Amino acid sequence: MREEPEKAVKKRRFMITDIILIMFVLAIILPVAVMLVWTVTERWAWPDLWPQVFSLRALDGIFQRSEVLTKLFASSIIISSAVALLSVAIGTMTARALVLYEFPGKGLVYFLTVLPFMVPATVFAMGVQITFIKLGLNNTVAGVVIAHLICSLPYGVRLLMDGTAAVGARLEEQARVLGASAGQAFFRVTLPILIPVILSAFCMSYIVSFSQYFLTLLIGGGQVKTFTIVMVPYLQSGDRNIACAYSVIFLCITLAVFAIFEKIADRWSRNTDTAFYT
Amino acid sequence: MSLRIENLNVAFGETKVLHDLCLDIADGEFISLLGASGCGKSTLLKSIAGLLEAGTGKVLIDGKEMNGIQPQKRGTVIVFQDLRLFPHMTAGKNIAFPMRIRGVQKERQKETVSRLLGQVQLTGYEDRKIREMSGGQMQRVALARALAADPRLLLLDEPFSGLDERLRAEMGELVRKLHRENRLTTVLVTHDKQEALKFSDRIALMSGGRILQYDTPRNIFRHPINREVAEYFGRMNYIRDGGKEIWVRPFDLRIIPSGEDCRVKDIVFMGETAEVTVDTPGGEVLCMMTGSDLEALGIAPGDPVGIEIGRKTGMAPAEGREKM
Repeated sequence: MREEPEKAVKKRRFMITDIILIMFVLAIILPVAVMLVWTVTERWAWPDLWPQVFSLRALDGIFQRSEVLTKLFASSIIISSAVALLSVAIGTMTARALVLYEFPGKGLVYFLTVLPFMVPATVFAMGVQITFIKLGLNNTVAGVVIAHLICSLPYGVRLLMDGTAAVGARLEEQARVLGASAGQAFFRVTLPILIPVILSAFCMSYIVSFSQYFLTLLIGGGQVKTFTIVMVPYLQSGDRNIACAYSVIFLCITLAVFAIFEKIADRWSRNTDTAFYT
Repeated sequence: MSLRIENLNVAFGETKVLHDLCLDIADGEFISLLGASGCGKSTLLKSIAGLLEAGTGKVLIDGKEMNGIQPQKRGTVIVFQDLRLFPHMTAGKNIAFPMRIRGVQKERQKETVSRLLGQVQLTGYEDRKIREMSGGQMQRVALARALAADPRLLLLDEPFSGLDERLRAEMGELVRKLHRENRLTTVLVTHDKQEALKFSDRIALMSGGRILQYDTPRNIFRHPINREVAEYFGRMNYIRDGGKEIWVRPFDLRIIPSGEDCRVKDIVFMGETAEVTVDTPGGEVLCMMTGSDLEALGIAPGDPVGIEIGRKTGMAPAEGREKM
């Protein structure tokens, strides 16, 4: 008798998690499924639930331009990877400074690192553009990378601050008294433990950069072409099937890139059996 | 190796943690730093190892001044209270860490790891993951790893505080054994006076960032320089005898059945030992004896008794004794 209420609670809890799960699946899978259908759709007018006319026009169009597109992907991936790499490197150092050291103006530095969270890119883009023109960085890949970095660094710093705080200075102190230099202590002890966080920060920065449209357009001036720059006009012009085909490719590439990152990170910490928060 | 600390001052911001601290440790000695938590013991260890910059004063190792010398070049290894084993390495890799840093040959590393694991009674644990080990096993790995660094000075920062009593005693014995076998100079930080008395060549009792007394276990127990030191190591009777005061440990007082001027006030039987409170004309005194002695004596509260101060055991406070 006594077990019954407990069972009921358990059941209800399962139902709630099930509902949440289903909602998540719908929120992610449904749009993707619609997108997939759209790539082979010619006409899909309201209020029909299923397209009236199918065609491979969009895919054909894209595959005919495959050479151009391959270049586009390559440059997009390289730019975003560079941004992510820089973001992780700078983020790691900034996080260490903010978490492990005391210095005057620490609060201000922290505020500045997360400021881009609060101010939308459109607001500071003009300032960035004017500065970059003066510095000769406008219309260059370097300029675009730095501009993307402004948006992705806050994510990198925030994530790595949590990771650095969790690992702390304790293990490095131990490594130091066991004979390691400051550099060795970081690279042999802290870094391998931080790998999972670094991977998250890397992916986050990558995706922020990869999907950046406005800043790329403004700073790149149309000279620096990324995948987003080419894709957005299709979305805006209402050429849905082509836009969806681009979106699907975007999705596939992102997934593939993340899978590769994960593999690399895995291999890197293969022997180390990372146990975070220990 | 020898260690000498001269007028060391360390402060965290406005708070002074160590005040003009002086300490001298000879080669091969086993020293205990004893004191309540927050008295600066751990800070002293970190200053010796170079993890904290000394404010003013000197740390000399083998006569060489260590100020400005990086931790990894001092030859001082700390085993911390929280052990700080590297979670991403196996037990064997943890122990090999100092040798890998030094670039020792792989084969020699392996040999040393298995020898050290044997020394700490963990033979065959090379590939064990840290989180699969018990507290006691982790302590042993931490000790073995410290030894793998070939320390000139081994600093132990309360490494046994998380263990139960039996394991604690066992680890204490192990540390003492390793100290002897490896001819180390060892500093053990502890707040357990029994541990300090049992294992040390000398004990430094610290309080409020200062060393109150630095002496052999026997002397610090028998001849404390002041009441604070005396009471840290156990209870003490302060008996007025004419013009002077005599300090007597409860175990050094003997109750004799014949006597008139003293009276048994209270008896507490605790099995192996017993405490007897006696009213004397000079005030209340506390006597301690073994349980069987109490039975042989056959006294009860209210009985008239006499008190005898054991030969050579009654003592005056160690005024004028050398402090360090």
